[in-house]
Amino acid sequence: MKKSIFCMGLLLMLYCLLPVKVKAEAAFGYSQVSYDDTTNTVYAFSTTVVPYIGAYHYTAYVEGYLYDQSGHLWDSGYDENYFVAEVFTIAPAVPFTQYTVYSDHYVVARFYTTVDIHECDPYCYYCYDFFLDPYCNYYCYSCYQDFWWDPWGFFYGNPGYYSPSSYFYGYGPPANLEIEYIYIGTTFDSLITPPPSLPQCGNLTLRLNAGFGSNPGAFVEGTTQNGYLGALVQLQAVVTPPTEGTYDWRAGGNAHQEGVPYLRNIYWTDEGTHSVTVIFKPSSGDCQISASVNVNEVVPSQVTLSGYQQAPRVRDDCVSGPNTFGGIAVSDGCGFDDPGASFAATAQGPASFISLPTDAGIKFVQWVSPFAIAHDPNSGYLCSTTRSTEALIDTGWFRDGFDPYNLNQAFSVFANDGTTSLGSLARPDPSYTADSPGYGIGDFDYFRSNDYFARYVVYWGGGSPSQPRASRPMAVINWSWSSEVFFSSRGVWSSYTTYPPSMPLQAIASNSMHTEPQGSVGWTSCSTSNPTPTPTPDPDPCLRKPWLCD
Amino acid sequence: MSEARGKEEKKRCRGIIIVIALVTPIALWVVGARGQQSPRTPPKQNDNGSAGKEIPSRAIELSITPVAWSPVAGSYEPAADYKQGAAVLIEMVLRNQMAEPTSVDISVGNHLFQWRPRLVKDGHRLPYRKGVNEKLDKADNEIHPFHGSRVSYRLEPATSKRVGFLPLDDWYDLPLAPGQYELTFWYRFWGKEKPATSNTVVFEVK
Repeated sequence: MKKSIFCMGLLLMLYCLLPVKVKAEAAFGYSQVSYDDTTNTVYAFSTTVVPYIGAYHYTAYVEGYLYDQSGHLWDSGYDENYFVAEVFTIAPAVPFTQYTVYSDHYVVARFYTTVDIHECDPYCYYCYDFFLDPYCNYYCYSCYQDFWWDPWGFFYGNPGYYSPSSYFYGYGPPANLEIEYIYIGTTFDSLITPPPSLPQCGNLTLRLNAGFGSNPGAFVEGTTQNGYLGALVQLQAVVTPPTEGTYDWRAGGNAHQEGVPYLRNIYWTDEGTHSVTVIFKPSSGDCQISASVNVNEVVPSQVTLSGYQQAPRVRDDCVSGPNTFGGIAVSDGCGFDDPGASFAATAQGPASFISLPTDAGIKFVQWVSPFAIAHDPNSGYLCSTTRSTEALIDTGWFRDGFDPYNLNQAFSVFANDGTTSLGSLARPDPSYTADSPGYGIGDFDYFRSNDYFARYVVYWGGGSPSQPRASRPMAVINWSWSSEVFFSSRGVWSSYTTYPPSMPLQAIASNSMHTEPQGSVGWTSCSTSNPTPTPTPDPDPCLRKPWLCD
Repeated sequence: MSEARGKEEKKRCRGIIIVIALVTPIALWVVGARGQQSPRTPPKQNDNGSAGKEIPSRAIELSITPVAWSPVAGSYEPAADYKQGAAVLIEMVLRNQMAEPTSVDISVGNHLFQWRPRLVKDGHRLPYRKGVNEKLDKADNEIHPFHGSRVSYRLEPATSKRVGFLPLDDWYDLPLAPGQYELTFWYRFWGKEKPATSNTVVFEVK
């Protein structure tokens, strides 16, 4: 009986810890804006939906705000309900105006108390003991269990005031009811109302020419075309026969546009379908003509990432010549002919599109959590790490060099068919995207290392690969290597062990990645009470360091 | 016998005193002259940088070019000027001037140690950003300054290889003020080899 209660307690604890991984599916929201030409009205809906199971613990909540392009708020509202919270907003339709509805989605979590009556046990003072201590029996003991009932782990969100998962019982007195509005996210939708109905210029035609893409020069008015997120789309209004006049361009979504009156370079930083409309009015001003195209901003849907890692080993030097470690080193790979961990990625987006193919692509970015400890006969134990402890591999992460990896050059751009590839598993590595990490150990008489890496393939669009307008992580390879080297005397190694053996590396899909900034690490005394000696100042730095000369 | 030895010792002492008397003023003059050297100028490239000690070197040429991203080309293209606030990026190219191929390693995580820029505006060297000198001194004095990720390049004879693009913000306070700048980079192979000095490039921030 005690065993079963103990197991139940454990199960319940695990249940509370489990949900973090599935919270993305726990609730969802959307926005929609539409135009009714019979009533000349813009309608917008903001909706938050909590599925049936979730509704047992949470209610849905939504706030909706309907703005026009000048930032004027036409209407707003909020709603809370068990399964579906919905706000309906409305505005009169001003011709040729962009309306956007923003919806803030929440779930509402409720804190409640349950009371379990158990029999007393003089040795067990807490419910925690009751569940986990096998020596506890069940003699008349009352346990107040204050559950923060948050099975989908929304307590990780911000803002909020939540009990961490490790506090099994939460807090607060029995029967105290607390309500938390847990922000899930914001969605939006927008449209542009039709231009004012001036008479059509019967003697003119207006067409939209796409300057970039898989078929540059194609006319695209009246169609829906793909564009790579963040990349430039160039549209040119072509009036036939050529006529003097004015051009008025409107682009929906989070669009940025510049150019000359008849030609626009446009990019978006939000995915989805956005309309672009241009209205041409001849100088006479007595008629107008318009043309539109819908641009569906996308990121590549098919991405592959593969990797291969060499077994690390101790090297007195590399086959290809002296290495950066200056002698004895333990490293994963060594030199040009022998890359340590190599990576290859491909991405395939739509083959038909109207954005500039060379303005988007993929790149590698890598994060690292290094740990190394060594013994130097002169300085004692030295550590090279940013981790809290060797075992806490979730700590100490920083971006390994630049974004993109390898001094900003591990990137590729799309070809006209919507494909791109980056990196290589070939040996030697012709792409210079591999990594051969290691440590120089020539002055030590003991050494141990344990480095973890996360290599991401990331979509980038617009701007430049290092500062793109839009980027999306697509997949990651988590890899690591470790070593322990023993020495017979300083700098003379006698034996070593390393991990892993040579093997392929597995990738997993990932739409999020590390965010820690670029960092570095260096050797310092492991003991704070025994700091590394301050280096002797260079008496004449100019002689040896010409970059410091005035 | 002992008298003769005493005379010899006296002679030797006198000799030593004469040598000291001659050498001391010369040494003082040399030290004084060095103390008056101002401003200091970079040593010539042929200088091995360390008196009496031969530093190993390889005939590898470093050339740098200021670049900016070109979306149409899908690559970084040479740039002569930048708008204030725009990212100044420098392309690094290594060229093997030797008859045989050679390899170089580019540190990914410890680029501060391996690359050293010198930026001059209006004839004055711009100091590194606050805290950078301390960082660099620490890296310079590490027992093994190289560790962590790295990428290796094979440099074939008489061929150039681009090894990356470096921003200046790791060394300097950005954005750079408007004006004309001269930039030189040094590439340190692995700390014990003579660094490669780049060409000096001029760019303008408007």
